[in-house]
Amino acid sequence: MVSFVLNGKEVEVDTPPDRRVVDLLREDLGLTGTKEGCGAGECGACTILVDGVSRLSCLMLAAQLEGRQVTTIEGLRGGREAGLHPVQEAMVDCGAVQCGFCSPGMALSAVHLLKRNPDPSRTEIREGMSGNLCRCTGYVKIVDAVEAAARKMRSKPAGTAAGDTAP
Amino acid sequence: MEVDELTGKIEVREYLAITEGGRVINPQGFEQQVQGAVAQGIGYALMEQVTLDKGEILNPNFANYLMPTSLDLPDIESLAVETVEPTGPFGMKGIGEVGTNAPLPAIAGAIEDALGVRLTQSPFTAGRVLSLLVPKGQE
Amino acid sequence: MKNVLLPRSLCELWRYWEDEPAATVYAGGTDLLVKMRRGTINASSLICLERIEELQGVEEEGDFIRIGACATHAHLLESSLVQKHLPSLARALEVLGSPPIRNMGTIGGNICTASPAGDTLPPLYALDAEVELCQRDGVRRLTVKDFLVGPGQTRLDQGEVLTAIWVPKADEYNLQHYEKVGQRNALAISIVSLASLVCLSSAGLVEKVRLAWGGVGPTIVTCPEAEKALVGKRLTLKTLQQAAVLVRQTVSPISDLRADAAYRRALAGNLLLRLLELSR
Repeated sequence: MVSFVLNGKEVEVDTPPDRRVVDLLREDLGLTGTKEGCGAGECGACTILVDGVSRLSCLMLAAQLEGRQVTTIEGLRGGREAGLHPVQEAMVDCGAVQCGFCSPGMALSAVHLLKRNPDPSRTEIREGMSGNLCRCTGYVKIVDAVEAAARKMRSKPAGTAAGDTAP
Repeated sequence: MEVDELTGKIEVREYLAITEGGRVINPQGFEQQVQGAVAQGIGYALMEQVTLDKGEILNPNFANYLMPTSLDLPDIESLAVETVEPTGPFGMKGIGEVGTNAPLPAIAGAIEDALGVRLTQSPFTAGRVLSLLVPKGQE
Repeated sequence: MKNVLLPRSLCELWRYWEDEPAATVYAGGTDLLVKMRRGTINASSLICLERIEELQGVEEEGDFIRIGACATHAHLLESSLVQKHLPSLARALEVLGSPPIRNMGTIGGNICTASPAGDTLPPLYALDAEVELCQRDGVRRLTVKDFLVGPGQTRLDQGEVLTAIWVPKADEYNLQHYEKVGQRNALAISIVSLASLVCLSSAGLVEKVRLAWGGVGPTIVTCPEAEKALVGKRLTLKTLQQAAVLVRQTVSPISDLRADAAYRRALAGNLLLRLLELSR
């Protein structure tokens, strides 16, 4: 049994303690936004936020989640009425999504990057996203999107769009 | 493109792709495809290789089959040369793959321009480039 | 199904270990969990150290910086003590893995994994860092050099855990650097790396120098002959090339999937030449 806060809600999951978090999310909870690309920490498709910090869910075990605040891509939105997070909005507007497989991981890495550095240069964006592989885009529009999201989030200092449950 | 003379590493600093794919219906889609294809082409030129030993693939995973990360690619600028292909739907030819063709020969040409020697075997790893810089026999 | 325990203190760790003496210990999991999935390591049960407060943190202790073994690479990069007093370590941490890997991986894990290409290792060698090893009934310290025996091999005893790394402040070295050469610029294992600490006098003469290479031997390689050849000299192309020759004679690289030995040997010497542009 592991208890933690998932996308703002307390949950309790009956799962073996050595279950990989990516499997817990996808299989036990049906949250398939988090993807598995490699299972070895080499692609970033499984990126989630744990206590606001980007981590690879394929290299975490269920027991490690106890008491933590976890945000998956589903939680970035906060419900249909709440609208998209600025990072998601920018990714759509800038054409940063092609097949979409890397996109959830990219979005969460971007959220963590912008929390640490709200005004990153394009080089700093590339550094911040360097743990997330993309085969479709060549990264250019992803960098454009993070830059645009950063600009938008800086001009709304009271907080991001409603629905941002990322701590 | 820059070559580091100490390590042989190549860095593509800027890339301009001028591509002709018939009529452009969705400019953003056109640019997406070209940028992605150029990225794949640069990977092909600099780091991608399926390593085989008696038919067994030695690098069947993301750890050892390397593709470019966001730090391995420049901003890729794309310009479309728009023509009309009469046999294509709405005058289009398609743009999904053609962008991968140019980066490898472009980089080979840039290496020749920088170092005066042409590499004829890809990927143009730092080791291969460094061997162009250091005459044989000298450590 | 394996048990996964998360002790909150060293006390709890000793208790858990008494109940499960065969349990395998991990911190970030970025090496262990990968190896377990690949099948190269088998663990019957696991103990995760990430919640033990005593193993976190970076503190100034006189002339030393004490780094908690379970401090993540990201935390170390955020530490002003590390940035100020140990810049060559900071440079290494910047190029280690990738952002999420740096959020999870720990310096203690990097040391205990003992890869010949581990990025924290050359700076720790050059800095004469020591590891603090604790068992239930005692503590001992070893230099990182003595602790690392070979590829993937350390002097960690059964029932012992790496608790801290003690690094002497390196403020007298006014030129500090770490360069990593990999097949790409992120998510790459070092082909060859060099940590360098140089103390240059106001006249530009080398007073002290420490150098350590990764990727060119079973563990980190140092070259006292090259260091001696530089002391008392200026950093010029000629002096560095002469030292580079000595380096290439010292290193014992292998050929592997990433690079061949000849390239590694050439590179080990060439990386020294980088000091020329850095010293200007």
